[in-house]
Amino acid sequence: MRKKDPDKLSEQLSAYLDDELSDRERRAVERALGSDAEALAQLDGLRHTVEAVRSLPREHAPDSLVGDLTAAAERRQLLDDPGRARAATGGARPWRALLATAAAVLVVGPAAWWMFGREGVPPAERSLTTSRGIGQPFAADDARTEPEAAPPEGAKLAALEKQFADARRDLGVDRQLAARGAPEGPGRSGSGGGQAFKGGPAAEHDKAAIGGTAAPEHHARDEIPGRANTPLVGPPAELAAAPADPTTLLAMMAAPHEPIVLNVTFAGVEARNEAAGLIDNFCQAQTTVPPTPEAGAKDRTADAIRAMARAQGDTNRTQIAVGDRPVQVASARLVTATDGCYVVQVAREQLPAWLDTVTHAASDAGDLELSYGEIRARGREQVIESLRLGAPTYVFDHPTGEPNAESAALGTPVTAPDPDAAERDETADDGRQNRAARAEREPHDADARKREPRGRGFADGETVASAPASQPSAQPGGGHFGEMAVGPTSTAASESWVTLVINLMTAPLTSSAPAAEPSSGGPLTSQPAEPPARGQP
Amino acid sequence: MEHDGTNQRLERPREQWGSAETAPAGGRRVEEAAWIRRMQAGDLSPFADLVRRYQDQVYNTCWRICGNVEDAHDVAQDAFLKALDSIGDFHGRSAFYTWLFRIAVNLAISQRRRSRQRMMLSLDGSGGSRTDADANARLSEYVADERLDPPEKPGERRELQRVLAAALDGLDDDYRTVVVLRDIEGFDYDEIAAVLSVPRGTVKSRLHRARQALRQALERAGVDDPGRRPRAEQPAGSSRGA
Repeated sequence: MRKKDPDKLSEQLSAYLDDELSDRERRAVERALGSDAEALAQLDGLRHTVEAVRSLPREHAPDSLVGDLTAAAERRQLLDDPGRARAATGGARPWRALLATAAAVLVVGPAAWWMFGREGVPPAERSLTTSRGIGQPFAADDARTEPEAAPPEGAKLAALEKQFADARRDLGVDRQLAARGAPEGPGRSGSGGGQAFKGGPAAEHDKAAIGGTAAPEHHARDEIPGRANTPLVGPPAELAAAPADPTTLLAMMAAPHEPIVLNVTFAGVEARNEAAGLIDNFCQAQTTVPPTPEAGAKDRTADAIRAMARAQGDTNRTQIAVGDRPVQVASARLVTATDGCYVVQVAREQLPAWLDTVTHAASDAGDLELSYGEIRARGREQVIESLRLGAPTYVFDHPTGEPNAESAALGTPVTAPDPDAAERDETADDGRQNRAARAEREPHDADARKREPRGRGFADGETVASAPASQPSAQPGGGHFGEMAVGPTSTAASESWVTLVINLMTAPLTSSAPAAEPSSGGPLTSQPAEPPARGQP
Repeated sequence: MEHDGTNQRLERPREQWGSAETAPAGGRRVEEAAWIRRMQAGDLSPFADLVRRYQDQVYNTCWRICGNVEDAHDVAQDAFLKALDSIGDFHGRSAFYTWLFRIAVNLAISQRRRSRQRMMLSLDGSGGSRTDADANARLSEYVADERLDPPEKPGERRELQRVLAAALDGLDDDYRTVVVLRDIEGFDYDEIAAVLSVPRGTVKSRLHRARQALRQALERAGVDDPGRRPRAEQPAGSSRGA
């Protein structure tokens, strides 16, 4: 063999060392080795070389590698990389849609109760508390409100379902439905095939059912055409009975009783990543106010929390002192975050500025780097407008005009009609232009805004869908959540924390302004088919 | 006369797999398959376990291919994340670790090439590649550790390793990779073929040539056989695939 092809023998020797030869090849090599001293020397040399290579030092992976990778993986999951998400779920993300839907449903009930039904509640009963403890995460409503949702998959879905069921039990949904004689379970939705949305009157009905604070009253407009027909549910009874003491304030910091669902669509993953990173940064500092401060410190704690809640602008954390102990208080607190859905608690006073910053993240990034794409300026406008109205709403923005999976699951977006939508469209591709345009449209000076007490954003009987967005809620008690709205407030609500459910979504990059929304059903133009039943001229 | 090869053949270096033992088999493979199924279903909790199981091997492979720890860290991280991103595309037709190493090796080779390009474009005139310098620096640290010396032959083993590491670093990527996978990480030929997507015969050939090149480098340095004096002070740095 060797005489014919020395390289072949050498190669066979190398493989012989590794025991990678067939029996026939091995026997041939061993025959050659028995008769050829040079081959034997060559084998010896190769063996020394291989042993030397094997003796080379090894490096252990850094201890931080697992942690870094785990964090990176979680972050990627939060950012909902489309490709992996599809791979992970076989092309669908039912649990996320389920979460978003259920969160939206849960949000609407208490928030609507707050907005529409609390006027008759004595101040002492306006404080909010829930059966959920401090630090307990936000629980979404049950999945029965979303019959279109895909069936559960995996443990995550099972956990979500349990969470929904718990929330449903906490809110007494079944009890209320039974009291109203409504059918339960899937299929109880309205004729539109979607969810049965009921406005303020229904909320009052709910409130009466669970708290007995207002007589049920039927109103002509129980449903808003074109909107998701999700039955409103009121808050639990204890929600209206807790005193407004510092302990309650502390509880409120973790009790997500008045969440606002925001679906913010970014043009491109990079833009969304910017916003996600911003949320992470804002929520890094956890509230460390002791859950049960000593009696003497309670008042100071409450004062400190109020002071913190009044912090403005870019101040996201405020150093306060409880007794002699300095306490770091965050004005934004991350409750939970999964798959691009952030549940964040924010000091109400900081909500506009905070959200404005979040929704600005991508547009600022876009200013710096075109490849980041543009945040949908109009979507941002919607967010601001909705906040300005104090409206619990979820906002969609579809650059292509085609609902995506999330919006399909959530139904038609709910938002206030906006007569200025067309005007804003003209500047929708530039956030700065939008801000300037809005400033022209809304020449209210900041001082005037500061004087406006905040609370619910509508006069009695107004509903989310009927309140004009351009109405700056000048009436007493009207809310104002515009960017410039700052200052102390007098209501318990304004001292509370607001829970934001922020769905960060992406849309294909587009260089043009968003297509005009259809005249009905679009985020900015969804008009109620009927005028408001009450409280409207 | 037929040679008795029982003392000549080398056992596969399974101990090199460290605490993770060798390629998963039996219960470990079943466990791993369960992890992968969970990850494919969207549950990321097994990801940390998978990382722990393979991080040392992946990191070492990347280190030896890239030539420096900084790139190795980045590449190892990228490899795991890329595997996670593509976990839905893993259908179990090959072993998971083979699939993972294919990702890691490809990334490491790409990184090595990028580093080389950067080095070639560098106008700092310092001479020598950054990767060479890093590898030599780390090796010097290792050599300086006298605890690693066998008491009977102080210094010789470390000198051998220094020369060998430099020679390995000087090999072409294709040859260095097979040596790393076989002699350092303990893959068999079939596994290497799967990782590199080349025929088994190519693995055999490349490994043979790489070993020859390393052997020649050791001979030139006079450290191929303990007891021989070096013939040259300068280590062989670029054997270029023999």
